[in-house]
Amino acid sequence: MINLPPEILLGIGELLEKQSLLACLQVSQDWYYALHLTVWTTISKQHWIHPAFPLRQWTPLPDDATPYTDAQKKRDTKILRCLQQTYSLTFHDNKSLRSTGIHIRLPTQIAMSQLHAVVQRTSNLVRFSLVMWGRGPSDYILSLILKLLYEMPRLEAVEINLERRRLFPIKRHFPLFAKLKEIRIEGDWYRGVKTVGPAPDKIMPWKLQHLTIDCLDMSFFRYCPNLEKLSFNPKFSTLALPKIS
Amino acid sequence: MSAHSQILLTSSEGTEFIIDRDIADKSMLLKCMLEDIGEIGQAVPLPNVSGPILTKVIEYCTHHRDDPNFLSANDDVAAEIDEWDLEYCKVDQGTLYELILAANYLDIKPLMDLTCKTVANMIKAKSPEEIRKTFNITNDFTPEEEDQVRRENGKGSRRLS
Repeated sequence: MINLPPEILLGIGELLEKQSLLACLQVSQDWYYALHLTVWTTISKQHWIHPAFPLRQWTPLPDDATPYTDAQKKRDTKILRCLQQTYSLTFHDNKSLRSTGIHIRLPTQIAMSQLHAVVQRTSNLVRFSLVMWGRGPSDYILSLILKLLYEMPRLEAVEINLERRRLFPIKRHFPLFAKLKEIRIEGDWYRGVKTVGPAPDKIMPWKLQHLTIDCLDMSFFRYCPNLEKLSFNPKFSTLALPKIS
Repeated sequence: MSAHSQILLTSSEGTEFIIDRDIADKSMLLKCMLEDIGEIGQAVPLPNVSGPILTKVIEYCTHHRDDPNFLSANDDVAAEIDEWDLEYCKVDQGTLYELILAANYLDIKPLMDLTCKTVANMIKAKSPEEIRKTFNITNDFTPEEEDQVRRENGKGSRRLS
């Protein structure tokens, strides 16, 4: 039983109740990586949208742990349908409140994994916005989300505003950026582009029309023959609630 | 439909098995293949499945031969495993493991569900250490990782509440 493939572990994980699933996560690295996302879909079946999470596009589910009834199933189906029809999604933590000294502690991990669960279900997204200061999603979750975004056929605009300590190689996401009309990025997460700039002729010309960044970086412009509007983020703008309009 | 025709299968060691078409049809892999290319009268090689395991799989498919809701029978996760199936799964871990892989490869969903459910039952109500012991898994977390994973998922963590 040493090397069960992850997809089979995943199948087994779906049969387990929460407590056993959490025990499985502690067994070994392979088991952890195979199962750790299942925890969120399994545990959060009844409430995979946490009420504390400021998701704006639809009404959150009540946070109760009652068994999964037919009524809930029906409601989830309805929500799933709503998600599939959602064309604009905005996640942000409340920066304005934080700047006034009021701290809201979000259950970060729940929110971040749910964020992935939500994005996974919105396949027809046109605009996506993620604004998180503080810890934000892990690199792993972020890369999953970017991958999902890349696969969305209708996506046009992305705003990602993260304060991050670790650098995230932007090069990997050039294909994502190349298909967008509008990008607004802020924070440390995408810097380091200077050191990883790929040869411009290897990338198809970007469709990009509107670009908003917070530091001057020539690498971006090389790929943007269609650029119509360029803006810079006001530095340390903690009060503005960013919004793609 | 030629329900009475027979299909020749070859296991990984080269042993030949002759089974009825309706039994082969329990495997989505074989079913789709036979529908796509038709019965060509040649042996179908199954390089991923050994003879003893293939015997086991055929035993399962033969027992459930006339099961009308073969494909939907195990949809209910909480359903009890019936007696024959329970007895069928009383094999050593190596065999069970091979059975899962074979069921996955041959795409026999009910067998897959049954074997996965058996493994799930072996996991239930066990501590991480007991699970490792049961399945002979090495703990490859570093002490720091283990500490973090335990804090996030162990007893008293927020995820449990």
